[in-house]
Amino acid sequence: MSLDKVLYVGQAVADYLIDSIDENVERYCSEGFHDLVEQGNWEISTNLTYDPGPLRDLDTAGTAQAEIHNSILVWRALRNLTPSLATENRIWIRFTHLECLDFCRKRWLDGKSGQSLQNAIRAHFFADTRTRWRDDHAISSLWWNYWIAQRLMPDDPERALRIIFRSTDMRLSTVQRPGLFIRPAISAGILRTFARDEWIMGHQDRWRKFMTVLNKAGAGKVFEAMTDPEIDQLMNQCLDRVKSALASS
Amino acid sequence: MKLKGDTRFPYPVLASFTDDYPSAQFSLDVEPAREVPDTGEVAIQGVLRPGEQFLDNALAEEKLACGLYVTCEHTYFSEFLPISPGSWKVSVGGGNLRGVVKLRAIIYVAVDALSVPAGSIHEEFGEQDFPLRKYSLAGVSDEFEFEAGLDKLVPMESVFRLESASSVENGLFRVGTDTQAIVIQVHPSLYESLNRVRNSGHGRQILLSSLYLPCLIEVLDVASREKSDHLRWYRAIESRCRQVGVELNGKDLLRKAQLLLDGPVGKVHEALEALS
Repeated sequence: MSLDKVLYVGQAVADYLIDSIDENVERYCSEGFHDLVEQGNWEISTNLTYDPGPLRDLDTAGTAQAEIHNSILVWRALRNLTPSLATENRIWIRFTHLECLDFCRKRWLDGKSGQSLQNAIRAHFFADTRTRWRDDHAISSLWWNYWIAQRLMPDDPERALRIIFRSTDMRLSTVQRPGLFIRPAISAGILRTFARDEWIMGHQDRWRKFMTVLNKAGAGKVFEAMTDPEIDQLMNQCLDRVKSALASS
Repeated sequence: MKLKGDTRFPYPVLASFTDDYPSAQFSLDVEPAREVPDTGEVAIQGVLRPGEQFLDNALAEEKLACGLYVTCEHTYFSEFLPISPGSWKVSVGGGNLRGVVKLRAIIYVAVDALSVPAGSIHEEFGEQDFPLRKYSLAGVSDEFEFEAGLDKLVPMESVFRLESASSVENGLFRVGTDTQAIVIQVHPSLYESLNRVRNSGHGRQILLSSLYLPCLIEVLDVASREKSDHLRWYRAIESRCRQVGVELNGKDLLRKAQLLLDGPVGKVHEALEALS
């Protein structure tokens, strides 16, 4: 395994790329950015290294399975990154515009044209806001998927990923609701419950109802002070309530 | 399950926004977080005093316990750190925090059942002692915020970009806010002069008040009219405003712009001293 330095682009380059998507459409779609790289300010070095190998195997299919596979690959490549660096737009810009350009192009730009192409570039090639780096950026969102999954199920992050990617709606109801899901004591408990009883993932009405019931049952409770078995017991009670409520409706 | 500043509970909770413990002098002070620049480790310390006899005793007897929620949505960081009543200190390892970090201390019931004497709590809870169950919230502090990471140390003028534009009348300048950096356009001959001033030792300090200050007044006005998270200059100014305690509401712009640039006119004085 040969390691490379994690590099990032200068602020002026980042500003220019975001402001000039329309000028650079051909570079995104076919030509690439090597001519701009030669002008400098694209190779500022961090003191971190990464393994470029796994990034060559990224799957361009838009399926949940590919998303899980890619999240694992990006994590393998960039496990040295800290969460604070993983919010750095200029690191992710470098990956989408150079190291991973082929993947990003095929995954997110193929078949698009005009304004929808430019919108896709803005959404998936830049990580300048929280929702962009967590949900939209072609590479950083994969890193964050794995980071969140291993925080919630340290023993089996891939299982956590399989639950989160069960459907788009599941990710929306969990990872993209940081107000609730950001508390690991609660979110890890939710995932353990979903892993124990897959009935709940069979239909979106079931887990939505579960979240509502849990919200009521958990009001004013300090989950962080509870043990895992105590949290699991509470979650099971909520699950029973959901099952009987849905059975009688 | 979210803890908001105005959340009410059907049982007594000590907080600044409730009167559930009428005689309590609840206080939580948090000292500004200190960051170790080399490692990024953040140290947070403070003092928590319920200031109510029953709660003080229950804490001393470990029937109640305290903890601090540290939450940073940018980095998806959320930890609950045990703290002790009285003085406490916690630290968060480097690389975990960036941007707005929220702190909220709580007190919770640590034993199977705890009965709060009717005399300690508001009469609306009845004349009987009030039973609290294990893990119930018993007290919640106001929320404190700070900005983590080195972004706040970046000079304010880094959000501006000086551009040469022959369409601008010589001697005037124009401000553009539709791009990632705030663009200041000047006539090419003025551009040359301003660049020379900017690159000449203390010249930067003179430009802060003569060029950046009026631009920032205009920018604060624009920023107050429309939230523009997709623009870097907007996020930088919003962050700096939070850091110096300034609201982006379009009012009192002259004073706010001077605060954000850290008293730029005073820096002219420094520059003159250096030149003489």
